[in-house]
Amino acid sequence: MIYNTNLLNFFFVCITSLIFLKKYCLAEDLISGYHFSEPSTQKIQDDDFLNPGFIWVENGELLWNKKEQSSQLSCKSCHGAASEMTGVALKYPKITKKGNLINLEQQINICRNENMSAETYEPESKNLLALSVLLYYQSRGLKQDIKINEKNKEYFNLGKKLYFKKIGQMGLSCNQCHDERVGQNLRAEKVSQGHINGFPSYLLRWSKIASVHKRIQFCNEQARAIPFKIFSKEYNALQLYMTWRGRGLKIETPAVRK
Amino acid sequence: MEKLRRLKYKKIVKVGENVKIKTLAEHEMETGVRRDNITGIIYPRLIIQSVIAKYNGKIVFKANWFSGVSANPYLAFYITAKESGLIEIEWKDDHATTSYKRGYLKVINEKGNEVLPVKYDL
Amino acid sequence: MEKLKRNTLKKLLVLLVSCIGKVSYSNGNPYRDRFQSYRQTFRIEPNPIETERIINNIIGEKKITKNLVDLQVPDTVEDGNVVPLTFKINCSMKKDDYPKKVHVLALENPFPEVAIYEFFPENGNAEVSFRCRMRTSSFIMIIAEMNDGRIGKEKKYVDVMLGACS
Repeated sequence: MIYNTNLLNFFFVCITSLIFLKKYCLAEDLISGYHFSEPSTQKIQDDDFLNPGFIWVENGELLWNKKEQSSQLSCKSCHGAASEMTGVALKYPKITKKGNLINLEQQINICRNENMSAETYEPESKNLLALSVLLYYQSRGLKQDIKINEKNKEYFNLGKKLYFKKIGQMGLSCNQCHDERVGQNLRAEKVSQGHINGFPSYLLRWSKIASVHKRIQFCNEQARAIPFKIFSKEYNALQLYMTWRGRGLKIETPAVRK
Repeated sequence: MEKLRRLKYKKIVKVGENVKIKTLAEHEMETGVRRDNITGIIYPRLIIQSVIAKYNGKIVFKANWFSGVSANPYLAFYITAKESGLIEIEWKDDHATTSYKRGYLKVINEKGNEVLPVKYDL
Repeated sequence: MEKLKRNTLKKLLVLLVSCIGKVSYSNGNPYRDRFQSYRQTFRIEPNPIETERIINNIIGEKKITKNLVDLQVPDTVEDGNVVPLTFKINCSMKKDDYPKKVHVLALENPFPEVAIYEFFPENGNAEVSFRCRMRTSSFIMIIAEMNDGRIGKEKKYVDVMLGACS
């Protein structure tokens, strides 16, 4: 009888440790940032009305249909309704014809400048983020998959190098927290795997939508490193690597994060 | 651009049912204690002071807010459905600027007919 | 002789200035209430005595009834900027039994009063949910003033990982 309970205990320990391993230690298993946040935050993201990120989606819809005075063109007149743009956001960051890497927000600005002859939006401005959120929202629920080929190989390698490079006064690299110390506490925060499938997402600390580049800048400041500029070549390369790293995860934009 | 206001509720209800009304306003709700990082100047307070809900012109709910309410404020409350009519929410700012959002509530009785606020005897 | 004269004159002047200064600096009025309804543009540290005073002002000498207020708050919140909060007053919502005013207080905020809600019999259900800010981990208190003079009180502790006022 005693022998039996011991065996049972042993199995119990085995199973729990396996579950724990599967949840936290194995880096191959991708966990979205959603599962690292508190239930109270998850509840806000689950309901489309509670989620304040939908203010940006609705504003984006208004901008999408708005005609520019200079050319009498709107986004809708070329691309059709916003709901037809499903899956477009998955292809970014993308290589242009000139050979440099751009993300979706830069593409919006290029499109406005060249085709609509309108003024470009400032980086991190409300209108630019609203359009970006709208486009990412159209592919919500689809899986991230970005292909690495001859064209973007160079940028991919740069992004990978930056991801493993130790920076700042603290001498930290991205992988030290987001691969090796996943699930542990960093002061009051739980370290997530650092996936960007929810971005641009509503951040509670600033009470507004923030883009990937802004979030990486903040991360760099926390490690006491000098951040690059938004839309810089380095951040685009890093975004490409991080998108590739989280391939298979579903897009959650507009997600709610801390 | 004009600030966005959202309003959501069940559109068709029965008489006597409690309807949950959900509202969301786009607003920074500046507390008046936050500083600019570079210049050190404190941003002046700018919040939504009060939200008033009217049902067929009569005030049914009132909220007075101070600086402790979060940005992009969400508010949900209940009203009892008596008759079809207009639901009107009014947000009032520190600068005394007001914004409205209106919606129509359809109320049906047990037979499936709409209950109108004005009765005609023909 | 000269020195003595000068010294006494100096002392007299200091005394006079200090007297006048005291009069102008402390007039004993509660300055905070005046600015609560006005646009405040300065920092204030939280003050437990002031909080106590506000609560006493609301309750006064009325009797507190138990089990009148239901308060739902998560035990831990990630960010003090967004604390989801739902409360419900247990009453029949008839003409003679409904809450007139419901106060929401976060006890360690620089401005403890968060919101005041006014109900009417047309509400049918005295339940409200909204989101508030909190400076640190502290108590959230709901005080309900019923139309017949009863008072309901409920408080709950919320753990805040990152404060809102920064």
